[in-house]
Amino acid sequence: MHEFAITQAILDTALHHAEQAQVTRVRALYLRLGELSGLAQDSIQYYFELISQGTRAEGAELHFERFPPRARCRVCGTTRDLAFSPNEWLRAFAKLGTCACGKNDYELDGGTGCFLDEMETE
Amino acid sequence: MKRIPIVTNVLESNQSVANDVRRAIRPVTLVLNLLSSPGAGKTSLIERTVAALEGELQFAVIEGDLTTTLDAERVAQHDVPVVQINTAGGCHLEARQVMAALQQLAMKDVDVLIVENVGNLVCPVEFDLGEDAKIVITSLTEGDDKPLKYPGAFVAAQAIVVNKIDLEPYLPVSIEKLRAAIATINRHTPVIALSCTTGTGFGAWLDWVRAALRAKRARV
Repeated sequence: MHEFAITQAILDTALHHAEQAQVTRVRALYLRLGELSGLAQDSIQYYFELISQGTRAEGAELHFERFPPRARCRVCGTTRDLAFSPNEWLRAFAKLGTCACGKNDYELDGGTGCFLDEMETE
Repeated sequence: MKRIPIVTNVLESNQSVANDVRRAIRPVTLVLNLLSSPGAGKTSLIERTVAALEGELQFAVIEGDLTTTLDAERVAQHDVPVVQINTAGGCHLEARQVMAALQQLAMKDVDVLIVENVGNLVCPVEFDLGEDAKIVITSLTEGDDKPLKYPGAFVAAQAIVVNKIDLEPYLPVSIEKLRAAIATINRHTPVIALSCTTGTGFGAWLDWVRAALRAKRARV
């Protein structure tokens, strides 16, 4: 539901960098969405087409990648990747078993936010 | 064609305003951001908390809602300074709204500022408001599966309140099952089961608030 605010922030960030780099046209944006943020890609796509009209980013293609949270051992700090899909990472987290340090005391780490990694320009 | 690397969180501007909020509030004031689905008991928790700690701690409240001043009116009855933010459809509060609301509050003697977010377990998680702690409230009437369905909120919480435990005998839901669901995603955050209606378990919540305030002041 907060996709509109996120899309506005994506556009603002892209336009800011486009202006700084003195580019006239943004062709594509590469975005990474945290699985815990609950962002719907199709809503971002929809809002982006609406609010980018008349800007240097009008018509830019949006490329999405999603990333899950990781598990971090609270004893030794080691992080472990979790399975990717929405149901699987939670199941994987519940079944991690003992860490290399001998303890079983994990917390979820990261998996939130919306990152603009890169843009393609003319 | 050119590729420009950026690698930035697009919510950085909200983050920077949230940091301004932290600087604007005195370091002896504890700021709590209350998150829950609609009807879980955020306003009831505020009402009972300010009533129980009257004379001990000074409160101020910022109320976030799509529309109406109903919640602010409830809180104002307890003689607590309160500002209502109407988001006009917005599903969460942002730091700039809290910053604007602060200008309308006399914060000088305030020990605890409570921000009641818009009732929603997804969107508010993403927006730092300058708080010291996010409190997630869930209630037995919502069922015991919400922690698994909305994990982001339960991961982000510094305390999790389970409200309406007085209704357990009438519901096909158990506190233990709900606790187990919370533990599946977050084993480390304190879970405080209480009833805002009867007051059962409320002492543990008040102790948590006192301890959080002490901890913040110890850092100053």
